[in-house]
Amino acid sequence: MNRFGSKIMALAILLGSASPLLAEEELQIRNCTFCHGVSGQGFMVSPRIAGQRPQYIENQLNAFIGHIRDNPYSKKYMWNAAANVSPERVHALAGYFSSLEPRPANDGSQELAAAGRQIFEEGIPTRNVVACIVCHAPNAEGVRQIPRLGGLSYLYVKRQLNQWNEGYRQAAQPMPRVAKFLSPDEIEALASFLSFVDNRSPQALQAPQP
Amino acid sequence: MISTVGIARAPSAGARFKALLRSVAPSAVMLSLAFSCVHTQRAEALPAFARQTGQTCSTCHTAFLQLTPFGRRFKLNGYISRGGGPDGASGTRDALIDPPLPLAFMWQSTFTHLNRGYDAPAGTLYSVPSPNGGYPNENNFADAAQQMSIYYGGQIYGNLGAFVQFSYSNTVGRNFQMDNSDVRYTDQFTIGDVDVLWGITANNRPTMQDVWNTTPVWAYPFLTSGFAPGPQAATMIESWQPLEAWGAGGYVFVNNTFYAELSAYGSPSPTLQTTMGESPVQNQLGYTISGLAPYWRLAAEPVWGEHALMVGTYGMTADILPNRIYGFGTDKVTDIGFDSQYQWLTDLHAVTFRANYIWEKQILDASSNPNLTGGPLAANPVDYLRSMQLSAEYVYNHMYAFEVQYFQITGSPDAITYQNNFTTSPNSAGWVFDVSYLPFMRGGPKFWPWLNTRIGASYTLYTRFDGSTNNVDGSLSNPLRKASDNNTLMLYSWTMW
Repeated sequence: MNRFGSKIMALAILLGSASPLLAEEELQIRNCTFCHGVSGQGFMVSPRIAGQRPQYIENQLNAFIGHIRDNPYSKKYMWNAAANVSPERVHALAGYFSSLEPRPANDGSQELAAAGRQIFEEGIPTRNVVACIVCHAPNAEGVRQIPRLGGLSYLYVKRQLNQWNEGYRQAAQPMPRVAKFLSPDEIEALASFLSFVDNRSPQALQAPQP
Repeated sequence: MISTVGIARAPSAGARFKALLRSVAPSAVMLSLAFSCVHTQRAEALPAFARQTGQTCSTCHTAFLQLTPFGRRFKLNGYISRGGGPDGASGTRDALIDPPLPLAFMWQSTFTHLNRGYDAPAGTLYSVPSPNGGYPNENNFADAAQQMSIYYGGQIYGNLGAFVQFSYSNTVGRNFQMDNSDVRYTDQFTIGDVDVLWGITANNRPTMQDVWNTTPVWAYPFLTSGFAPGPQAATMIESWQPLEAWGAGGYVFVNNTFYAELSAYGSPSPTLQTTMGESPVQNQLGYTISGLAPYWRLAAEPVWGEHALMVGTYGMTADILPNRIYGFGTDKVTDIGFDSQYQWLTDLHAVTFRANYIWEKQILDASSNPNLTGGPLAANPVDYLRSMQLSAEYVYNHMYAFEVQYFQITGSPDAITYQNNFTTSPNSAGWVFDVSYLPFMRGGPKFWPWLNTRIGASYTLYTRFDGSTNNVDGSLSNPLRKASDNNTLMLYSWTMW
């Protein structure tokens, strides 16, 4: 036992003192991952950033730095977290997290997914709600600076849509104008559907089997 | 560098102990920055962490010490995550200075009012830790500096981080000692759909490394009076002080949900304890580990939206040399804990429920030996203890915190272990209530944005104390001392900067 103990101690010391010399020079992804998760899949109110459009991530980080994205959780967490990130690092972090594989959150209501899918693909013509697919791409994977929505958590998407209606993030046009025509039930349905979209598979938009 | 000692086959306990010391001590000394302890309180929510991350205290704490899920992950990442900068809410732009080292400080003041004063002659159950042995029938105690601490907290370099605390304690020995300390190396990787965060921790107190506020070191109540009497009985794992068990271990945290840890602890020598600052008077002899004691921990923390639930188990089994007396074998003490925590957190509201249950079996081969030097310490060959705490916390706007706890200790009566009380029973139960105000959780004043303070009042109410509801000390004093006579009101201010 005593030998074993000293070896455990020695191992702890060696590992603790010998190899930490990597991280400093590398991209400091663990400044992000302690909230967004080891591979950026999101955690609680932190959205999934894995597989997000790189230009979108850059724009958001710049919006936090410039205090333009102003919803409460952004103010509380991201304004502080992003305050001192240099433009080069913004670019590099966006490149890193956009390259990770996105996993669907799968946390919406399966019953509502079909209705959500319909809104996503067709919009609500009678109320002037444009189909999401027009901008966010056929598989909800986003395009250029327009974000990927596929697989984002139900609560995150729902919160964003609600917050546009509450007056936050008004700079993110045209979303404030789009979101105001959605009823609470439609927001639920849309957020549920998107949480099941698995952009890793060719049938990304396949609604889940109940 | 590490002197691995190969003389452990020597059968005598003394030789074994020396071998243990020689093998563990140099490692431990090198390892850390020195571990040690202070006797009564705990304390943290480090302003140094706020400086490093740029986050305000409210990111990682609902109301310190209670951690949020983000705070737990910051700790599991080994205190290395950074962020922030001059413009953040807890940024440096308007601060008087931006300290180059991750140092932080703490000051706790308390005023204690007991329901009924008591004499506390030295050596009795209620002896107040004082060189003169107690206070003559006092029931009000003011302590402007119950505990003061200095911390090093944050990234050391790369993936290596530390939380190290030194404390001066007014109530215990009036000395400066090393307190709770934890040094970690962590890293992460992903295989397919499996995310793994792993780490190695070296720390000086079992459950110091744990991230849920259900396990003993970081459990509620976060602050207790250094003067008030408390129940005599506590399980081993609730009793460790920072100078009594040092250890190291490894953990994995899989998919942000499943936690598993295995560690091993040993006791440092009296010399080392003294070196680290523990005054000989305060040397707690109760628990000295012979050899190494394994500690294990399993927990699952599923989260959804703004909710987080944890269900876990932990435990430790140790060969204990009672009062560090050699030659009579050891006691075998096994603790198995079950705990659960639920949190609902929004920007405005934070609700936390905590539950913890510890089952302890003590095989008292050494303590119950009638020939033990100084006399036996237990009457029974086997004793049991069960300790339970249920608590709830509500924090409004990270500013007003309300806490309530029910606690209960039950176990085997033992005519020697509990001889100071009338029923020779370890049973105690009661409630703790706490109301506090935290003005700076979202950032302090501009000149020092990392200032945080908690000003509050707590009331501890005993429904049973050391086996009795009346005559709890067996002194037959007139009138008899009731359990409720030990009810304690504490006013406190607890400032970190």
